[in-house]
Amino acid sequence: MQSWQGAAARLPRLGQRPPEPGGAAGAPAAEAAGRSPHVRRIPRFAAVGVTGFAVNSVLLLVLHGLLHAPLLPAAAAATEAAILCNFALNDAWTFRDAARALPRWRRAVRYNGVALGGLAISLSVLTAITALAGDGAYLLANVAGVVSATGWNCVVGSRRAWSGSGSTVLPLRRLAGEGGLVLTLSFLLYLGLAAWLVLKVGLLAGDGISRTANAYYVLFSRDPHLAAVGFVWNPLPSLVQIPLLLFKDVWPALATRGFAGDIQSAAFMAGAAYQLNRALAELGTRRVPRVLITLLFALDPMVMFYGWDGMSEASLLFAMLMTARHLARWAREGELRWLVLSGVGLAIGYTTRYETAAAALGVTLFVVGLTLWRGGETWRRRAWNALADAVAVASPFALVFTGWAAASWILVGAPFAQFSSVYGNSSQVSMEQATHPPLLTGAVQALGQMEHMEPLWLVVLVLAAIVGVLRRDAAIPAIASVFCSVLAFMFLTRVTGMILPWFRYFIELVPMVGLLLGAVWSDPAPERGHGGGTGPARPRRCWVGPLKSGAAALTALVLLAPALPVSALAMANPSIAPEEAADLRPLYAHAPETFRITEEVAVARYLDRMHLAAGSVLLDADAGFAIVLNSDNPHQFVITPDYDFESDLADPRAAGVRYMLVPRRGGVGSADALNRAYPSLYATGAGFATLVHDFSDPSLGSSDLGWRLYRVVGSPGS
Amino acid sequence: MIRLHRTQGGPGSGLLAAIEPSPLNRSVGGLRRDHPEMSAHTVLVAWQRRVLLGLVGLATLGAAVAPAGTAIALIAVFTAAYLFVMGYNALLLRATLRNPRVLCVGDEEAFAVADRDLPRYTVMIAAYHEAAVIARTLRSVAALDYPRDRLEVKLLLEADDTETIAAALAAQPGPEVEIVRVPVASPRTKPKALNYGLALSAGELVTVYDAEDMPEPLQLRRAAVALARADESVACLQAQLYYHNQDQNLLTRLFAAEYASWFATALPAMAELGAPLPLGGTSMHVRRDALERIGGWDPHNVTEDADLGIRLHRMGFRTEVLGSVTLEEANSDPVNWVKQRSRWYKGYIQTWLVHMREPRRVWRELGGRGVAGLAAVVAGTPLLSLLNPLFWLLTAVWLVGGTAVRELYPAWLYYPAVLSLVLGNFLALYRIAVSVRSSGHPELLSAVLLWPAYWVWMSVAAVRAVAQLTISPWFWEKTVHGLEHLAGAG
Repeated sequence: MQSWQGAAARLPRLGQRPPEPGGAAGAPAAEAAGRSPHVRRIPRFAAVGVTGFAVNSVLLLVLHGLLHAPLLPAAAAATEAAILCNFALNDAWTFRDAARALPRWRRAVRYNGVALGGLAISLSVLTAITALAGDGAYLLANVAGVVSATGWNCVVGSRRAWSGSGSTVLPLRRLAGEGGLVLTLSFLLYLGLAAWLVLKVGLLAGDGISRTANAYYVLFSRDPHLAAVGFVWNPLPSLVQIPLLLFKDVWPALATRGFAGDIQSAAFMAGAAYQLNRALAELGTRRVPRVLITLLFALDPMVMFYGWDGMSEASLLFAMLMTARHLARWAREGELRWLVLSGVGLAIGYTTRYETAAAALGVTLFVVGLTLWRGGETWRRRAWNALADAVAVASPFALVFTGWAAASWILVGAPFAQFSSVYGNSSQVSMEQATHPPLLTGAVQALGQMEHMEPLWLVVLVLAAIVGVLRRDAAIPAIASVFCSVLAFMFLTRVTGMILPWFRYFIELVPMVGLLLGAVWSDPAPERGHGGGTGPARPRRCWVGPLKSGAAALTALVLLAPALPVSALAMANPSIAPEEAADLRPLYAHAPETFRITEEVAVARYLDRMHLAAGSVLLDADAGFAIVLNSDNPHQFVITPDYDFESDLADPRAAGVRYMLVPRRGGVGSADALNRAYPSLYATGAGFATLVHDFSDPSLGSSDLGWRLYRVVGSPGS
Repeated sequence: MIRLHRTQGGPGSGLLAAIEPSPLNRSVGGLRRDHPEMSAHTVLVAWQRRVLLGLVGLATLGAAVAPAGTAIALIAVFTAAYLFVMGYNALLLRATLRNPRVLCVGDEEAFAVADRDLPRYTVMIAAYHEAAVIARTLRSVAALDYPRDRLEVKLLLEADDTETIAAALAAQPGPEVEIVRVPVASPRTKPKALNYGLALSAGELVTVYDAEDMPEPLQLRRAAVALARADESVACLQAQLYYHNQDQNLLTRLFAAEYASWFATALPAMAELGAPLPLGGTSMHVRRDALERIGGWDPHNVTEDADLGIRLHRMGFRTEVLGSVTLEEANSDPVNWVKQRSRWYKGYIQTWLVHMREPRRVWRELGGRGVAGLAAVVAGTPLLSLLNPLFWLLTAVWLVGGTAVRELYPAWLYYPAVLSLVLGNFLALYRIAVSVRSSGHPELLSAVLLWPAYWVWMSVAAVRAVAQLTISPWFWEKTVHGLEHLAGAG
């Protein structure tokens, strides 16, 4: 009897979860026990309270004082931000040694739930005081509100969120705390940047705001339907804005200034920083270099720029980092779940940008190669395993790829509208670049841009290749397979003149060097399935760790930090970064070259005053999206996503259209459907329309599209 | 000396020996008498019949008054069902990838226990008209590595099946094997025979094998060690079933991929999700005390195995998956496959109806997650197979441009339906593809490509199952293939 029980007792009890594999790498040893946790907690809780108050006040000052957002929504947003900030700090710091019966998200939800009670208290106090003392006392009123809410949180909140019956302390807690902080702080950073640049300085990114418009048509056009999101640009950045736009009546800038898009890109870019940080933690990069690399990524000028401006770079970076993170983990650990998550990353990537297809190809080839290399005893077995692994990683992407093409084919008659549509990339290229430079010149230009994006990228790549080969660390080629295939694709299409020479197309360099450098300085866990298992840790001298951390941090600083000033300067140089330089110009020069929508706003105001019935104004939304976004009466327009646009264009009068809006021909205006259908419309009215108003404003420079409003007086050809 | 956890007292425990005068009576009517609410003797209880009739009446009335509206409402309900099953599929996939919950006992651990410390084990084999394979069956039993003095094997043969009895005697089984002649009585089902065998046996642990099974020799030792180590609520272990004839033809490859996905990933994932596990008919290892407490098998349920897992869970006993494989013979003939599958579907519907008799009580006993698992797997599998042809037809008409179908899908229904069509099908196939890889049979990927054809065949079985359920609910359709044997794999 003894022996059987003995044998049973030696092993972990069944039915219990095994400890979370991986991930713990880099987690510091538990704090020395013995000290009472409360001695530390009380000052920490107070400090966190002060931080929360600071966050709250600063945000309120920015939102209400500077940006003149309405007081109540502004205070609510400020308080919610402070709640999340407090939770992250308390969870990672104050209560890091507390028992946690609940998973992190449930703690956050609970904390938030209690804190929302606090918010209610805070808002009531705020309203009461401002009602009594006038709106001018809002900062003082806010102090009173926050103090009462803190009292409530202190008494109820921490107890609800952190105490529980369970006594196990999650080993990943501090790491999770770090990731949460990266996510929260970088989101606030990009969002704050967006608020300042868009709402205060008045910058707008045209591509970004057109994505917002695509989401807007889905909800608010005369003919609301999901397919109105359009098939020229991949839909993710627009789709995630749909819920945000539901609040456009509460805060019109969400639509009129495209701020929903800015929230979108800030969230995705924060997610990208989070993925990078987690990837480094899972690779086993030590804390100091890990935080440093994360910071150098999050604070890179290009990353910050595309974090605020509402475009799709942020979601692309998020998806590629997610793919690379899990692929690297799969390469080391061989567990199928990481491969599946990597495949999900690719699928998300394709919903946001076409170049993901290159990554999907690169990743699939890498996976097949690695499995053939190590995946079984016989070649036959390896081949089947390689095929199965390829299916696991590539089929989510394949589903999105075919689904998107099929939907596009069914709804707009072309599977790849990006390339075939007059509004798509190919058309833009031929429009803006009558003759593309010779191959060599293009290659030199592209390399120059890459140097300005990340001056030492080649050094990092070579270093990583050497370390990867010496250490036989499959994580390094895994990372490279994601980013290098996208970069190679961008380089080749750029050199052959298939895409425009934008600086941002090489933004993948930034996460790539960060991840590779992290992998170079990581402590890879022994690979599984090679007779390895977790052997006993080699005894180390106590100074080895800090020394390694220091060396890693120093390398990161030397190799990555130069990118910050170099790309910041490049972004002001129109010959390297034409888009960014134009967008950022108002920051340092009074320049009419900037993209503005004042003309479109004027058109919208003019039309709104006419109180037209639904479907009265024919407009191609490709150039005129800002008119629709800024109109109070979006139903008055018949726009390109509407199912009846084509027939209305053929005979506007018969369809009940009374007015037509046309931009000047040339540039964006040449793709305009009205100009294409009636080439003489803009100049003369094409024989069936008379000019009502000309909105041209030469002071706007290139933003002046010269909109003209024509009244329909006959039928074309009559 | 606590080796196996035991549940003390409670209704039903010890009843077999003490009260019951005749093992036969008990094996036929025991469950019906002790737990009438859990017996499939009645298909529908009164309120279920009323609700069903009411729904049918409502649909008929609706079809007469407002046909379009009724059609839309029905499609909406069915689409919701599809989305629910799709969501559960996604959860299963996630659980499969994150934490495959299979209890593994290594060879060393299995041998570390001295023979005298092992619990007494009862192995039951129910066979009917299996003269051809019974000798092989006995060889597989002989190959089991378990001390003979702690093992009893009950070969349960129908008293009138003289051929098989003769064949079994001719094979000269070892002293641990007892040939039990089960008296002829209705219903002639495997669970009745198992109840009879249970009453005549005494092992602390009980397992069941089918006639053509080839269990891995260490399975009993592994199960004994795992059960002793698991916590008290774990009363049952389901070993993993797989086929030895997967390369026989296309059907066996499809079947093998399905089993790989079911036993290697879906069941462990369900265990992880806290759902009751519909057991397989063989190679489940149960503590006798639990088995007696729940009243044994339901002789009127044609998937007594699935029902047993759910009843165990309802009475507070959990089931886990044991990392040990039993090889079976896959059904290689399409017609027989349909017969077997329609019995399974019939039994699943029976089982679900039985366990939905007292919804509030079931909710209390299984919890929300358990009820969700029950609905998605036990009700969802036959129901969706039944509905599939209708929706394939609608999709086909829609794709060739039928405007009538467009009318049936207003925007609020259209988007969820497209999501279900695209993502639901993808997830189902992707889960199987991932399963065959993670269970170590990547060569079955070729079968995954043909899965839609397999779905068609499942639908045929589902239609047949519903027809049979209304005509002869307890009729156990014997699976016939090269070798005649009871119950096939189920």
